[in-house]
Amino acid sequence: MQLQYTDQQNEFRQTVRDWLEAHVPQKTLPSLDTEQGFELHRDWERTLKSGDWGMVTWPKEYGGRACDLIEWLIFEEEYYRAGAPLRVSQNGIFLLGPTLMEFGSDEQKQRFLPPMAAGDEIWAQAWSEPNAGSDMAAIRSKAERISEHGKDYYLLNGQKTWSSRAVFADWAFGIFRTDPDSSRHKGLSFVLFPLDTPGITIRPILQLDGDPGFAEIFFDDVKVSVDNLLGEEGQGWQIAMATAGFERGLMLRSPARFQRTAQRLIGLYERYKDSLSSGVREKITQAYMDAEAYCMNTYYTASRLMAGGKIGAEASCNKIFWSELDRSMHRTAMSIIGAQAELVETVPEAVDEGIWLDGYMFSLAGPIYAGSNEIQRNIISERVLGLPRP
Amino acid sequence: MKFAHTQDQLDLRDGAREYLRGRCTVEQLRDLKDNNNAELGIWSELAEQGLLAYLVSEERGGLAMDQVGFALIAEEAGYVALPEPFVDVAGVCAPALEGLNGTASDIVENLVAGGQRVRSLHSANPYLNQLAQGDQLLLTGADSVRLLAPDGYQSKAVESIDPLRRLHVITVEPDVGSELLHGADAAEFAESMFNHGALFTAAELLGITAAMIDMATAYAKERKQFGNVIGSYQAVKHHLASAFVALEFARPVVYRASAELAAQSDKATLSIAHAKVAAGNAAINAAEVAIQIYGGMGYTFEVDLHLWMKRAWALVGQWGSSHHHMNKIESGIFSDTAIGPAQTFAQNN
Repeated sequence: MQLQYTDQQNEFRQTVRDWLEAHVPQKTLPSLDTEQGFELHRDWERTLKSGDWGMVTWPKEYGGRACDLIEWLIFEEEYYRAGAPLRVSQNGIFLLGPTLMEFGSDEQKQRFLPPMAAGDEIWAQAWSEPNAGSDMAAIRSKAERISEHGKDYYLLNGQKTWSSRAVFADWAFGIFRTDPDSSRHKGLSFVLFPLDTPGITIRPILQLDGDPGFAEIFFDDVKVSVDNLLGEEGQGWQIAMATAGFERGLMLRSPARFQRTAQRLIGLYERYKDSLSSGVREKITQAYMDAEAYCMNTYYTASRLMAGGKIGAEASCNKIFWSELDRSMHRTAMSIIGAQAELVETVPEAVDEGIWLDGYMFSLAGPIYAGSNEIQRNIISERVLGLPRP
Repeated sequence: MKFAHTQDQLDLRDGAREYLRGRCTVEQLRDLKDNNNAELGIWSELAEQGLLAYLVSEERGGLAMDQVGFALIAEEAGYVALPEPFVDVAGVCAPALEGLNGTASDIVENLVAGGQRVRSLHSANPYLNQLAQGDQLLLTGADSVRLLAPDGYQSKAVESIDPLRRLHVITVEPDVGSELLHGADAAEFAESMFNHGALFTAAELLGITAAMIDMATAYAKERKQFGNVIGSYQAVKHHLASAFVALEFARPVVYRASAELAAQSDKATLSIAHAKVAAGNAAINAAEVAIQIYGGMGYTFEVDLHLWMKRAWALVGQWGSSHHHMNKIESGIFSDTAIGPAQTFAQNN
C-alpha cells in the first residue's frame, strides 16, 4: 500500500493547477440550467478543450489525455480546489461517453466522442417516462424500423421525461421499445438522436429553483437513421444498465466535490460559531470524516480497477453514500445560516452568493436521480447480500 | 499511489482466515460460554501458525510484516469473535517491546514462540481483558513505562456483559518493576501504543460488523413470516443494505490508517482516530440492525448474535471512546487549514 504520489503524479497535479489558475473564470457563472448560463458553461467546455482537459481519461484520438484513474482523481481534486464551473456536458462525458467506448462502433466513436469532449455537442438523457421511473422496464416509447428510398430509419413515438437540460442540449440518448410485442427488459434498444429533429417537441419543466433544468420530450413520428442505434437491437436494457453503472460508479461524483463542500462548511461554521449550539461542531466533524471516507473508498476502488478489477453492485453503495452525505452537509449549512437561509442568490445578503440554498436543493435530488436510493438498497441486498427478490 | 494490499498480505490474511474460522467456531464459543471458560486454549497454536510473529523482526523469529497486513489479520480475529487476547499481545505489545532496547526486547522472542505473554496496561483501558496467570504487564503511563512481572501487581475480577471477556482491575504499588522508559520517551511510547491499539481494535470491529451482517442476512433468508422469507421484504433489505454501506465506507478508512501508521506519517494519529470512529459506528449500527432482524430471538441467548454484539459494545470503548477520537479530529480540522480536495494525503503541497 503506497499512499504517496509519484513525482510524475505531482508534476501532473502542478500542470493542472497552473492551467486552471490561468483559465478558471473569476466570476461564478450563472446557473447552467438557464439559457445564458448554459451557453457560458459551453464556452467553458471549449476553453477546457483548448487545453486538452475535456475528458482526461479518454484516449487521445477522442480528445482525451489517456490518463489513468489516479490522474483523473488528481485532476478532479484540482478542478474543485480551483472552484471551476460545473460540467454542463456531464450526461455526455460521464455517462454516454464510457457507454460508447464499450458498445459503440468505430464510426460512432469517431463521430460522437470528439465533439462531446469539446463541448460542441452537449447531450441529454432520455430514459424515464411518466409511467417508467424507478420501474424503468415499463418503458413504452417506441422505435419502429422503416425503409424509405432504400434507407433504414427508426420512427420514434412516445414521451420521455426528467431530461436534464434537454431544452438547451444538442443531442439525446434514450431507450425505446423496438419490438412491439416485447415486455419489460426485452425488446428495448438504445438510440441516439439530435434534439432538433422534426417531430420532437420539448417542454421545459421548472425545477425547485425556478429554472428550466428538466424537460419532457414528445416524439411524433421522429425519423432517425438506424446508424444511431447503439449496440444491437434488443440490447438496450443491458447497455442502459452499463450506463447506469457509470452513473452510480466512480465518474459522476468525484470525492473532491464533497471534500470541497466539507471544507466550505468548516469555514461557514467558523464565521457563525458564536451563535450555534455545540452539536453543530460534531455534525461538521462527521461531514469532514464522511467526505474523507468517500475519498478513501474512491482511491481504493480506483486502485482495484487499475489492477484489472471490475466495478459491480458496489456502485450502488457509492451512490447512496455521496448523495446522503451531500444532503446532510447542506442541511447542516442551512441550519447554520438561519434567517438568511431562504435568501435567493441575487439578494446581496445571501450567504456565500446563495450556494448553500442552491446546494441544498440540488442535494435533495441526489437520493432520487441515477436510480433512487431505495432502488440502490434493493440492488445491494439482492445482488451483494443475495436476498431474494419479492 | 497504490491503495491496495500486496498479494503477500492477502495470502497471509487468507491463511489466517482459514485457520481462525476452523478453530474458533460458533459451537466452540457457545461451549466456552456454557462451561464458564474464558479462552479457547489455542495460544500455542496461534504461535505455531505464526500469528504472533507478524509485527516482529526476522532476527527475533518474526515475519517482519507491517501494520497494513496485521490490520487484515485483526479483522479476521474480529470476524470469528476470537476470545484470546491476540490483538493485544501480537498487535500492540510485541511491536512496542521490540522498539525497546535491552532485555525488554528479548522477551519478544519468547512471546513469538508462544511463551510468557505480555499484556498492555494503558490508562485508556481501565479493565484488562483475558488476564491469565503468569502474564507480564507493560504498564504505560504518560511519563513512565514499566514492565511488571506476574508478582508485581494485584488483580480483581469484574464482570463484563460479554461472556467471553474476563476483566480484571489491576492495582500496582508505586515504583514496582523495571522502568524501561521515562519522560518524553515514555509519552511517545504511550502514544504509539495507543495508536496501535486503536487501529487494530478498529480493524477487529470491521470483522465483527461483517460477521453480524452475514448472520442477520442468513437469518433473513430462512425466517418466514406472512408466507415469505423476511429477507424478501424491502424494510428488512434496506436495513441490511444500509449496514453494508456503512461497513464498505469504514473499511478503506481503516486501511488508510494502517498505511499511515506503517509509514509513520504525520497524519497517522488523525487517520487512526477516524478509523476508530468509523469502524465503531459501523459496528454499533450493524448490531442494532441485526438484532432488529432477529426480532425476539435476537434478545436471547438462543441465537449467537449476542456474542458479537456485546464484543462490539466492549471494543467501541477500548483504546479511546468515539468521543475521544472525535475530539482529536475536531481539533485537527478546526485548526489546520490544510484540508479539502488535494490535501487528502500528506504529500501534497
